[in-house]
Amino acid sequence: MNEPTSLREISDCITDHRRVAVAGARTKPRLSRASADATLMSLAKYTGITDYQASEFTIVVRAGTPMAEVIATLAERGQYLPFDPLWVKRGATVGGTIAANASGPGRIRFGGIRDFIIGATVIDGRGQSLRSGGKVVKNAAGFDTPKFMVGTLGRWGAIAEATFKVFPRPPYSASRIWQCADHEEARQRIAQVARSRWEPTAIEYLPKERQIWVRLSGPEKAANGLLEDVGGEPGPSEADWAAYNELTWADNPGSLIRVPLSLNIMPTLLAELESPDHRLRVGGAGSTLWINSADDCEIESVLRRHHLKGLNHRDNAAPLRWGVWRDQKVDRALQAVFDPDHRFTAFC
Amino acid sequence: MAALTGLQALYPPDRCLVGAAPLKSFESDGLTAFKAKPRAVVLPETADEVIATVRWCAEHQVPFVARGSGTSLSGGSLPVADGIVIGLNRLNRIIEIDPDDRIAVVEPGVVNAHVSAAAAPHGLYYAPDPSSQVICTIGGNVAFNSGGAHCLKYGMTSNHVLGVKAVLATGEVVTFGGRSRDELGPDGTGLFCGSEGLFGVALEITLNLLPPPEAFHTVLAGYHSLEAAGEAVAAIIDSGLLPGALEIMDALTIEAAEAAVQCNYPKGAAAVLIVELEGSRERLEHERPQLTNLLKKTQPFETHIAQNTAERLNIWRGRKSAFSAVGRLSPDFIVQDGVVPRTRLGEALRRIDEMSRETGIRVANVFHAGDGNLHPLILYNGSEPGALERAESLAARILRLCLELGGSITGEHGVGMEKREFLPEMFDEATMAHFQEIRRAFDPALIANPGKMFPGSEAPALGHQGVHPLEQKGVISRE
Ligand SMILES: Cc1cc2nc3c(=O)[nH]c(=O)nc-3n(C[C@H](O)[C@H](O)[C@H](O)COP(=O)(O)OP(=O)(O)OC[C@H]3O[C@@H](n4cnc5c(N)ncnc54)[C@H](O)[C@@H]3O)c2cc1C
Repeated sequence: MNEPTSLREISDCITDHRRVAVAGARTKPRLSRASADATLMSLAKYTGITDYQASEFTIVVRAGTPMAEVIATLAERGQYLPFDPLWVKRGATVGGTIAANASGPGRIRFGGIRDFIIGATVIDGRGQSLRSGGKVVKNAAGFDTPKFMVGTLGRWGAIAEATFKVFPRPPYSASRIWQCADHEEARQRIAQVARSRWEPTAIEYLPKERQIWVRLSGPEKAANGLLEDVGGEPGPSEADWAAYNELTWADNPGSLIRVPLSLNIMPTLLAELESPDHRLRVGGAGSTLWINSADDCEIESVLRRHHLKGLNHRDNAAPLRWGVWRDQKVDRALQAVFDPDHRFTAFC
Repeated sequence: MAALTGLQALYPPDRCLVGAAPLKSFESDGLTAFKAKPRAVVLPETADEVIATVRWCAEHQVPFVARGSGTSLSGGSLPVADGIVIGLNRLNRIIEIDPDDRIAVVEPGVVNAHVSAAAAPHGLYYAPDPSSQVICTIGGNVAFNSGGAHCLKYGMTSNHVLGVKAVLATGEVVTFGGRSRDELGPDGTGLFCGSEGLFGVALEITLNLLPPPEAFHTVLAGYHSLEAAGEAVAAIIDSGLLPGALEIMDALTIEAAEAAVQCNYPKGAAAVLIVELEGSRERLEHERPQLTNLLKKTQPFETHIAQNTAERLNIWRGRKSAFSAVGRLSPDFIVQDGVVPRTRLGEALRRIDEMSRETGIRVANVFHAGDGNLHPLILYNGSEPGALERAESLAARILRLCLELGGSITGEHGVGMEKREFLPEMFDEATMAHFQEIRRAFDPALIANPGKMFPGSEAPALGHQGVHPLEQKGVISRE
């Protein structure tokens, strides 16, 4: 395994090897499963917060920096990344979080990683260092390649450094649980809370339990006042949320498949997938379905039937991609721009 | 160049305009200094007509420019001489509003403000609000990643676009993103936003809708110096508050606004600051006193708190009138758009003031202070020989100042025609070449809006610039 510690070394490592698999801390093992002939390049040693301007709401970090370190540094100045990055305690790095687009519950308020990444340095398949975006919170110059890199899974280039917009951290958060009779009621109530005046910072659904978790954040008095309006039972604690963001509920054998979803198809899909073998969560007010299952035989046909796509984050024995993925000429042309020699196809 | 027969066969004569007279109104956009004569203007009414047009252009290698309402301030929708203009205003259907999924699916010619109007009965709105919103289109907003007064908190257009269906310059019809707020794979939607019409034509756009804030708390504070107003912004930002808007106007702008709309801003102010907090009633109850105490320490000589919606709108009226009001002070002006790190606003303004004194060119400053987005208005008289060139050279110095301070050459108006020479000053050679390659992946023949964003091509003749014709009629105003 190669562990470059500078831009130069990252670039050399890419050009010196025919096929390179880029990885971070490998908290999502299936995403960085490399073929036998590949050189694994971990950016976990390319670390450090290179610039933090709290008054500008910006932070610049190297890809290997643990997300936990970024979060702690921001917290010292009362700031945060509002999208609840996932797997932070398990060691997720900045680069891996961007490449996997691993945003958690908090994204419903101000958006996910794509909405907070404002600049990036990317090393492409020719070893070139490309810097795009800006270091200021507002910028409309040049193509938005930093945003484009979100979700590229190491297959388009090595994300070496990123600039994020950050926000003041709400001083207080508290949550409620709504118990629903069925998935249709859950759909209606999620739609209702997402349109409410409460400014929720999380709306998650636990299908088996038929529970909606709603979190509000802000000044303590204000949040508590609003919670009376929200009703329901006293909800998950900070510790529960922390565990939730590690996806501990999915710590079982088998695949962990993520499916982009929209709220209205949630009830049908859940009905079709309901089985004691599948553990399910619906995140981001109906935006993401997570499936954890060791018995995945009917999942593929359900996803296909609904023209959905899924990505397996775990279980190295199972396929990576599920369901229906678009194949567009332009995507191939773009891939050739980032990686003309197919170095980053080392994943399998 | 190919005969137009094939193209003309796609449209009835009244939707495929040729000849000098009907093309006149398409020769310019909001940057009226530039003019170019297109070969034809087509006015499609369906996505299929757009696709057929682009395919015709691809087949015959004829350049085309997509055009929404033509309000671009950087020459983005300026025609390519002898090319085709695809006017999209008639593709103005809101295809769907889904209140539970909280999305709107729209055609590209839908006017920005119409989305919020259609969403309002469902308790939702579309957040991006460029001040041209009553006239500019979603297609133009997407292409320019347009902003407005609420970007610090809510981001730009791209932060509210979930999916784009487009016909690329190759004729390929593609889809990026979709109805979900989640996405797997590269963020093609994010890349398409801000591509300035260089990739192809957006045909269908899926927008994210939000519930509007329940309440507002709007404060107008007058200061004896611009610097003091700037320091107040710093104090607010460092306090942990996240206002929906933070705007500053300088004395010259205030004077103009006062003359235009009698907004009753504090008399004798060197600068006014508008701060708007928003959110639930409960939140505002808590944040209101916090802001009051904070502002007190910044020593404004006068403070107004809007007591009701009418007073709130009055405060905004002065601000919204600023651009066109400044137009009254001078026959012509250039609207510059640059960004500096917010903590260097004071320094930027001082240096712009020095430049203004040194050159004897008046500059009015009005800006989105929360995100460091400056809009210096450079006043000149186009009928004086050399005045436009002098104003442009000052505009260029201001952009270089933005870069020197670590900012950007554009916060929201895009590069277009106007700033293409500056892009290489912001990005290194490898990145510029990479941008070109990305463009070629979408448009290998370089027929989609050529001559924009990248330096090098011939610039059309300069005319004069000033108030947009629609501003003269009072249809739109600028922020
Ligand atoms: C008075 C005034 C105030 C303004 N205020 C603001 C402001 O506050 N914030 C701000 O950001 N901007 C502002 N602008 C600038 C302008 O309104 C925006 O850039 C707007 O997005 C342009 O929309 P449009 O429909 O007029 O697009 P056009 O000017 O017609 O086109 C703009 C660009 O988009 C491309 N384009 C148009 N439609 C499509 C499509 N369907 N597919 C692909 N490309 C397309 C064009 O080729 C062109 O490059 C202002 C302009 C004026 C005149």
